[in-house]
Amino acid sequence: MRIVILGAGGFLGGTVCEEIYQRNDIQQLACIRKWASAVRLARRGIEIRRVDLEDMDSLSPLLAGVDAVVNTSMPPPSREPELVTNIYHACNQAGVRRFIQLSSAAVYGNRTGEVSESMSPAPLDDYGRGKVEMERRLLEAANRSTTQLCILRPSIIYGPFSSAWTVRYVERIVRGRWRTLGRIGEGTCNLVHARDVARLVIAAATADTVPGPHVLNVNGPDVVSWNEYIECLGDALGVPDRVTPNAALFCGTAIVAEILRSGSTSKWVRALYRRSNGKAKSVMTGAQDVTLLYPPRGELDLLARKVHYSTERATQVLGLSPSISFAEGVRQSVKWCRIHGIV
Amino acid sequence: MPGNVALIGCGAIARAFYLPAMAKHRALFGNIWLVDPADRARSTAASILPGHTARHLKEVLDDIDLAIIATPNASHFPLASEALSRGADVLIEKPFVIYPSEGRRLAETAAANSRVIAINQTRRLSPIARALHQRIEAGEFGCLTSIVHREGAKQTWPFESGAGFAPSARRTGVIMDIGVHVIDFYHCLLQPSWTFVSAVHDGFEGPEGLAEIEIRANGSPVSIRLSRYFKQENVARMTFEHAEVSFNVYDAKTYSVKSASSRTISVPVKPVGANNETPAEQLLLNFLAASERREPAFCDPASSMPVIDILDEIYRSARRYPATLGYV
Repeated sequence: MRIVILGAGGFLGGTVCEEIYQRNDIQQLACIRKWASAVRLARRGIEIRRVDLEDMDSLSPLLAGVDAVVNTSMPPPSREPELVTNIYHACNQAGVRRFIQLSSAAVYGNRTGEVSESMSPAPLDDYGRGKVEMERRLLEAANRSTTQLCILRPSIIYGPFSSAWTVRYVERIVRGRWRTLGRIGEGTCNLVHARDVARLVIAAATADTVPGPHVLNVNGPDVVSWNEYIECLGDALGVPDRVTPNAALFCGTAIVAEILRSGSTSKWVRALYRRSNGKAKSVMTGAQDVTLLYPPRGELDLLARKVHYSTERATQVLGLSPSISFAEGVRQSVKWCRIHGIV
Repeated sequence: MPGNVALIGCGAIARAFYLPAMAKHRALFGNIWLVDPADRARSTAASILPGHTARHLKEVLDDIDLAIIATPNASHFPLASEALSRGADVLIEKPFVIYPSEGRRLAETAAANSRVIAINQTRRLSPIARALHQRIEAGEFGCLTSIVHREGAKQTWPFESGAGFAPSARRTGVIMDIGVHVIDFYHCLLQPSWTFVSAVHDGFEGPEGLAEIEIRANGSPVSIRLSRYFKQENVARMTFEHAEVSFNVYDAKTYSVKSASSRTISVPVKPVGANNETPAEQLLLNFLAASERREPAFCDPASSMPVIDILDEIYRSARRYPATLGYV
């Protein structure tokens, strides 16, 4: 069997490639946008190709004789629906049997309680709206095509190489000495280990499934709160003297961080940072610390949201469930952070 | 009369480093040849510095007096050999070779043909290297007792070619990419005798992105961690008998000296190079001067071979991290 992975230079794409690399029954071609993102794949000797996904002429020749294409690329939300649909059409023309597209649980927006795939999307931001529109266009195209479509909606993907949900939280816990976030972090964390997602991606590409398109949630086996995640990470890291921050003060500083974050994107602030020395630089570095430590508005909502994404359908369709426990995932993450010099 | 020059390799380092400097000092060269097998790389280079173009060195029709080799590591030796045999003085991007035997053969060929080999080890040109070298050589800090060096960030270099990431690539990982800079820097400062202790990296079946190296400089422990994945502490910390000297490896405009009394002084470093020349210009002008026998090359094979030797031992003796997924 031959699988092409698009977006292989990213966190999830890299994990999928490393998981396939362990298997003898799958040949893979890892496609990346720029060579700088080849570091993780190259260490395993994985076959890599640089491909511009905006240029179908460069992609199409790679699809001949391919059984499945996995798309983990992350184009800008405004571009994603059209680009991904074009890729899907190219796969269909090339006779690719299956197309696996990574979407996100962000399509559900601020829904709470038990959430299954039968619930209609309610995205909150551009990211979620881009995913919903991409899914809509793909499903429409799949009704007129022979390439079977499988859309996966993972929740919070953590584990080695996860910048957003592992590295950033480890840095926050170490620098902010967080024990928990108190009432701010009482929401459900919906952690799923990257290797579990990768296994489900491979199952989606290889398993015998009922015909027709599938849309599947992907979530981890354990239900934990954000506070439990933060506390377990902190314990595993051995960070001493941790405290739960005052909620009002924390939310107030988060607003300041939001202002600093939007200011940091302006050209003159960047220019000032580059040129500044001494005190000005230490002020800017302090501002960076604040923006790291205090989450943006959308993330604060996420931390408080009590929602669980059901993976029953994925288990039924693919015959596989995520299996890496929360405790094991945290243990792996911390060991990996130490090896990589993050802590 | 200005000599003809061939810039061999028109990828990212050529665009960022050599071409702007060559364009600024265009009058110092005769005919310019831009050599690269990739059409796009050649045409981009020609837009910065107009010149003749060729896919390969053998297609260069003129006699060449100077060759600048800015290609993937593994091709340095064959291309430098070819350029030397055509009578050119050669400036080679770091690492100038990947195996010690290649380095020795190149040095012999250059000597036999009375040619110059210069090497771009940029950090030797850094103001901090010069400032610290003077103070260390004057014995201000006493003898070295240890070095800790942590360096890394997510890889962002705009590689034109994927040669360094191919399954067949040899010695193109972070040790040869960044490690050669790091060890050369300390070599330039301290001129020590290097001995290998241990090393571990993640180059399971390809170039490594993460490495931990323990070596000794004149018997003193040197601990180096290099990463192409995530931001590291990015600090160089040298402990001497009478002081600890440290600086940020990505922002070496100042260094700190912590004396035995625990007083820490921050010392700014002054830029070097006349007329605000960039490191690329300094290197280029030095290469021209070395070619005309007016001054020695900043870095030559003799001063670089101990670094290549210890890198070779690191590669030959390094362990791999356990390949278990999820942990490395």
